[in-house]
This record gives sequence, C-alpha cells and structure tokens, in this order.
Amino acid sequence: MLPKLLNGPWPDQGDVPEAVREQAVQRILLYWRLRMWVLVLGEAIILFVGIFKDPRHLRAYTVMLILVTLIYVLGLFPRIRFVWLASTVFLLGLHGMLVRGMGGAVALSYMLPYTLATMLLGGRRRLIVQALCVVGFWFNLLYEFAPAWGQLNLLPYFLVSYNILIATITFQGLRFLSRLTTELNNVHVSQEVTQQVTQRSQQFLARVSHELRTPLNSILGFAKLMRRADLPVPQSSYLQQIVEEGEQLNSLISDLLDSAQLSAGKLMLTPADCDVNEICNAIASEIHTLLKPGVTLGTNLLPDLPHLQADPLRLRQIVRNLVGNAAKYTAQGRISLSTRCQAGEIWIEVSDTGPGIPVDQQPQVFVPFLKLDGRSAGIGLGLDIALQLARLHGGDIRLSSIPGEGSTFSVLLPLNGAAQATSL
Amino acid sequence: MAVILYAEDHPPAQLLMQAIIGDLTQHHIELAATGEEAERMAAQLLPALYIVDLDLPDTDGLALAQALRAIHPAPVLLVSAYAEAVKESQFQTLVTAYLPKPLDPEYVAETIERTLA
Repeated sequence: MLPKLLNGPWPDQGDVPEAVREQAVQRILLYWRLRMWVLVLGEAIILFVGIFKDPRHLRAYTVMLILVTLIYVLGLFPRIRFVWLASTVFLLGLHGMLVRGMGGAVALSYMLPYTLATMLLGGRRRLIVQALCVVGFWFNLLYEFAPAWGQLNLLPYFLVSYNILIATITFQGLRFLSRLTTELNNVHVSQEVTQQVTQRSQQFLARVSHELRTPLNSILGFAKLMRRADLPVPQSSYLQQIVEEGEQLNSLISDLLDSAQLSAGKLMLTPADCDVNEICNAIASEIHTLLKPGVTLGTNLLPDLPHLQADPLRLRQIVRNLVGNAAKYTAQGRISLSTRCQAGEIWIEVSDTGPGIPVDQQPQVFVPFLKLDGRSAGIGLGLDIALQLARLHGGDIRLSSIPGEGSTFSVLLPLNGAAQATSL
Repeated sequence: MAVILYAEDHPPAQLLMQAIIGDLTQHHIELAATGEEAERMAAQLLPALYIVDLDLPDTDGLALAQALRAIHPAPVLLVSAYAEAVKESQFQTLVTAYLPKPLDPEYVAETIERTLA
C-alpha cells in the first residue's frame, strides 16, 4: 500500500485526465471534510465531559476550543488547509495536557513530526506521516492507561475511544487514497496503452503502405513505360487496365493511410496560398474521364474569389473526393462545381442529379467504411476523409439532398482557418 | 547529357529508374545500392543530379542527401513510398523535389529535366 501511495500519480500531478483529477480532488476534499466533522464532534464530547468532570479546566478548554473551531472554519477554505492540519496539533497538545502522566514532552514527540509533516510534506507523504503520529499517540495513551484501566475516569476513557476513532478514520482515509491512487494509475496505464497501440498501428500502416507501394511502383512504372510503345489493340487495352487498376489500388492505400492519420490526429497541414478556383478547374478536367455517359460536368466559379490559406494538396483531395463521389453515383444529368464567398467563408459546392440520400441516412454518409448502397466500388473512406480534412482546416461539410433529385455537398472553409487549425 | 547517381536498394526499382531515364531522357544513370556506395561513387563521378530513395539499408535518404551534397554539391531528388515521412522543412532545404512512389515515368522525366535546366 505504501509504495502505491508514494509512487502513483497524485491528483495534483498533471498526467491524468482533467475529469478524473477533478473527481479525485472532490473525493479527497470529502474525506477531509468527514474527518473534520468527526474531530469537531469528538472535541464537543470532550468539552462536555471535561466541564462536568473537572471544572477547573473549563477556561482552558473553552479557549482551546474557540481556537480550534476558528482554525477548522478557516480550514474549510481549500487554500489554507494546512491551517486546520495544524489545528490537529493543538488537539494532540490538549489531549496530552489532559491525560495524567502524559506530559507535554510525550505529546511533543508526536506533535513535532506531525507539525513538520504538515509544513514540509505534501499529498500522500504528509498524510502517511500524520497517520503514523496519530497512531503512535494512541498507542502511547493505551500504554499509559492499561495498568489502571479499572480506575479510569470518563475523560481519558473518551480520549482513548476518540483517538481510536481518529486512527480508524485516518486508516480508512489511507485505504481510500490507496484505492484512488490505483484507479488513477489504471487511467494512466490505459492512456499509455492506448497511445502505444495508436503509435504501433500508425507504424504498422506506414510500413504496410510502404510495402504495398514498393511492388506497385514497379508494376505501374513499367506498365506506363510500356504504354508509350505502339502496342497492337488488345494488348494496349490490357495495359491500360493494368495502369488504371494500379492507380486505383494506389489511391486506396493512400486513403487508408490518410484515414489512419486523421483519426490519430497526426495529419499535418502545410498551408500555402490557394486559388480555390484553380483547384476546382483542375479537378473538373481530371474527373471528366470518370463521368458516366450522359453526364456533364459544369463549373460555376465566382470570379475574383479571395485566396485561401490552406494545404493545397489536401484541398484538392477534398474537392476530388466530393466530385469523384458525385461522378460515381450520377447515372445521368449534370454535376456542377461552384464556388462563392460568404461571411468570411469560402463555399465550394458540388451538386449532382444522382439518386439522392434519404434524410435519415444523411448523417451516415460520413461514417468511415460504411457504404449506404453496399454495392458500389471503393472502401467508403472518401467522404470521411473529406470531412475530417475540412474540419482540420477549421471548416465543415454540409449535405442537402432530396431523394430522386440529387445531392449537394457544400464545403465551408474560413478564410483564415488553416493557420488557426495548425496552431492547435 | 548529364550523369545522374541513383541510390536505391530494391532491384526492380533500380531497373525502373534505369528504364525511365533511358527511355525518356538523354541522361546517363549510375546505381548505388547503399548510402556508403553512393558516397563513394559521388566522389568519383561528380554527378549533375542525385536521386535518393528515402529508405536505404544503411542510412536514410535525407541524411544521405546531406552527406552527398557535402561531397559534391548537386541537386537532390528524393524518392519515397512514405509521402508522409518527408517533413516540409527538411524537404525544402535539402531536396529540390520529391518523387512519390509509385513513380510516374513522365513526371520523373519532367522533374529531372526541370532540375537540370
């Protein structure tokens, strides 16, 4: 128990979550308050008995009790808690004076370490030393009175019982603090384990993605080099398939890695001056090849759109994921990509005439790995990544959709959002 | 025609870079499989350009880039399958450009020409 109390985290240390620490502090305060009321009650009984049994001490009791009460009241304020610990010293002194054969010297031998502990030690150490002092004092009392047990008057009898009570409470307090320390330790450990697991899975994913990309590098690289040669028709289209599927595989690897980094909060933005319109135009021409027959892609970009401080690669990724998604689900009609500026935010809107999403399913579209139709290609990370990237930029993505008519995804990016997001 | 020194330990990747530079550029490529070999060759060949893989058996690409530039100053292109491992600050001072794996042959050729121009 002792090493646990001495070595574990303590609520005044900064390595436990705020909520747990707050709880621990509350429980410790509760313990001290309980201990205080028991002491007050004990003192009241001693005063009562003392006055009737030995009226000569009335004045001394009264002065002492007023002092003690004052000190206890002051002790209710957490910042001067040491004062009411000092008050216990007074009590010990009082008891020492009252007990026959127990001179001030004996009481002092306990009071001195007690006072020193109060002044010099903090947290657990103080409590342990104080508990030992109280117990020592109690044993001393017992030793003093044991030979003359039958001739005891009521006062020392009360004193003995009272000190047993105090010792019990102090030990209960120690047990309580020990349990609390274990709990705090567990929180501490589980935090560490979580951190380690996250870190390991990060390393694992980075390693896996490296190992997957290394062979993919050769497959895609050589395929692309071969594509340059004038191959006859079936072979050239086979090769085209290899390249396209290879690119698809590569983007899946990137998505997995991005998603893992985003959920671990490890993705770093590299903000730069971004022309959102330029990005939208680039994505529009890039996505053209993915459109289904009968679908057109149009842009409606606000001229002189203010430039944005954002990570250009990640911004492209957001727009590409949204437009790519629209292209995937729109069988006929039109996809439009538009930009505007409104209340210090840049809006990028991607509208389609696809199947639309029922209201009750709308929040689910951003859930990673969840595919609402359960059939289409992909692993269901695109929208989750887009949303998390937008939030990392201090922005958001909104969805409005009418089933049967189409969907509109709006990316809102504050004009000074990226700088704020990275400074966090 | 310039001499390019490529530090890469994975044979298929060596072959690919050889093919890209042979097919798409007029330059000459020399291969080193380790950082140590690259440093030795840099002193002999005095290449016009280094292409360095981030993940080498005896060193990492950024440390090698620094060492190579101390031996013979020339621009460095960094190749890596870990896009995420390359920190922007190191990247800008040490490395002229970054070539992500899987390599796109045309992008590689363009970047080489632009760097050597």
